[in-house]
This record gives sequence, structure tokens and C-alpha cells, in this order.
Amino acid sequence: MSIAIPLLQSLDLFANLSSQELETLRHHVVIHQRTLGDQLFAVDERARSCLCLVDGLVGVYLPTETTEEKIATIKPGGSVGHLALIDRKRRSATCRVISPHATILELTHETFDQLFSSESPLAFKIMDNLVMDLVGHIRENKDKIINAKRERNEAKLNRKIGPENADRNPDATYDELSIEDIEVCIPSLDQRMREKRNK
Amino acid sequence: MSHPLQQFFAQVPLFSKLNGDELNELLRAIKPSQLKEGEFLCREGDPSNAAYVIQSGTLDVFLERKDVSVPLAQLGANDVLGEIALLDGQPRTAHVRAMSDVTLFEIDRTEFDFLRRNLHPAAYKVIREIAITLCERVRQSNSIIRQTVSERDQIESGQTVDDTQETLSSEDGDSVSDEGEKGVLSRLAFWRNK
Repeated sequence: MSIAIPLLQSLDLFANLSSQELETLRHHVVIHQRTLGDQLFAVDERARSCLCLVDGLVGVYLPTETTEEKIATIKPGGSVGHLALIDRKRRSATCRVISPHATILELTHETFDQLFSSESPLAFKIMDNLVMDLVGHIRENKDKIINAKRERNEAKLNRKIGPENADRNPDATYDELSIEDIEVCIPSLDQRMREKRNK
Repeated sequence: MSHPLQQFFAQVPLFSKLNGDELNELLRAIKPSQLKEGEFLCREGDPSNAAYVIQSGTLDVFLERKDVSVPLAQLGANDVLGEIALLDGQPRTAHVRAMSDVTLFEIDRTEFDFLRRNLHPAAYKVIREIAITLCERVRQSNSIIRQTVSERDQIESGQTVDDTQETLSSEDGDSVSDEGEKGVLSRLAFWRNK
């Protein structure tokens, strides 16, 4: 089954490709029809391809100690497993279809590698989209790390200071925390001191 | 005719996949530079217009927080720093200072962009090497997010988290700064030495 050029154009990974390049790409991708609950890949599987969502919805799940937690929903135009095109390591999450139907386009690592090795401009443009997506992801993750650490440290401070230690000098608590902890704790400590003053 | 610096650049991992002609093409975007001991290459927040390859000497990558210097990495010969700047030109994420006299090469972003816009294979072979590094950083930062959220949940549910173990993990080093890939080891060493 072949895919129409406008559908390829709607996929983020192939933004900026010319009509001619999309026509070439069309012969290098495979289309899959999937239904609700179908697993696209599982965490720790060896990654061999990138999957782009043409229509439908895909859930991204991370395993926890007892079950799994849904961390993202991929909408049409988005893709999963695109790191496979770069380093082909193991999958870091499990992906399943969460809509009644989904149309998935698959670009394998081998195909992409061949296009890249033959110095195809379309492979270079895809690489451009991939690398900028990675840069954005890294910057987003920095914010997520700061937020996660702030929440964790607030929880830690709540435990350490606690209502029973309300009069304790918050500075003393700093000694028990790392420099980075202190940095992210400061807003919450300032808030605590304001609250105390207001009382 | 091969460029006199070809031999040096061929041994830098970022450029190791380039053939002689591609390396020659890329070397047009590269100019030599020097720093005296103590001189700053860049400061956190500075605009990013270049990446650097160190030929000799040592650079110290660090942050300043609350008047405390937090070392992230020490970089030496053949190390590359600021490579993400070639892609997005975002401000520097750490201070970088020469610990000795340093000779290095500057890869100009504008020149690199010219090669990139023209879909030159040399630029894309470099970008692919950068992408491999970025993949690893994404995986590491995903891992630390999961770990931190899990620790928060443990604390909130009253379980004990060993504070001495959770000060910093290797992922923190990479996530804090793009300026040096060796942040991991030096930063862990810093915390061990506290």
C-alpha cells in the first residue's frame, strides 16, 4: 500500500522535504494499519525503525514497579521511536494504539542509513528535523528536571522541617542538602518565611 | 592538497567520519584561537556563535551559584565543546575558563550554517555525530526525571530515601550544561570530595 504525498507532508519528521523528495521517500516507507490495543513496540526491545502516526492516537507508557504509567499521547503528525534512526539502541518506552484505528508509517534504520550514506538530501533534511527535535527535547527535559527536583526537595523539606520544627532556622536545613537542592529550594523557603512573618 | 590540520581533526571523534575532501571543506569554517591561563572562553548566558575543538591545554567548565563555583568538567586536547551551539545558537549554559595556556579551533556557526543550508555532506556527517551524543543525553535526562519523581513519591509516602546517595547523578551533569560532555565524572568527583 502506498501513501499519498500530502499525508507524508503532514508528518513533522518530513517537514521541509520537497515534493520530489517526498515522492522518493514514498518508496522507502511502509504503511501499517493497526487497531485499539495493538502494541507498536515494547520497552527494552531493540529499536529498528521510526514510526510516524498518520491518523489515530498512540499512547507512550513507562513501566513502574507494579504496572505502567502513560507519559504521553502521540497525535497524528507525530512520531515515536525516532532515536532508532540515529543510534538504534533499545526502546525506552512501550507504545500502543489507543484509538479504534491507527495508520502508522514505518521508516527503518537500514533504509535511512542507506539514504544517508548515499548523501541523499532528503536524508539530510530528515536528520535536520531529528536533531532539532532532540535539542528541543533536551531543553524541555532540563525544565522538567528542575521542576521534578523542586517538587522532590519540597517534599524533603516538608519532611525535615515539618510542623513540629516550625521555629527552626531554615538555614540550618541547608546544611543537609546539596548545592543544587539549595538552589531549587530557595523559592519554597522564601515562601515559608513570608508565611511565618504573616502569621 | 590536504590541509595541514587534517591529521589533527581526523582524530577528533566529531569529525572522524569525514573523508579528506569533506574535512577540507569543513576546515574553511574553522579558525585557530588562543587563550591565556585564566582567560574566559565564554560565560553562562553569552550568545553562542561557535563550537570549539581543543588542540592543547586545559579548560575548566563550571557554574557559579550563590557565590559557590560548581565544577562541571575539565576538557583537554581533542575535546569538543559547545557543539549544540552549531545547531541552535542558544546562549552558553556554563562558564568556560582556561586553566593553562590553551590553543583551540573555533568552528564558526555562520560558516557551518552555510554548509548546512547547502546540504553539504560534511555538515551532515558532523550533525549525525552530534545527534548520537544528543540521543544519549535525552535518554539520560529521561532517566533522571523518572528517578527524581520516584524519589518524591517515596518521600511523600513516608519511605526513606538515602539523601547521601541522591545528591547528583551522572545525568545531572549533562543536563545542567551543554558545554562539556565530561561533566559527569568531574561533577561526581566534586561531590565525592565534598
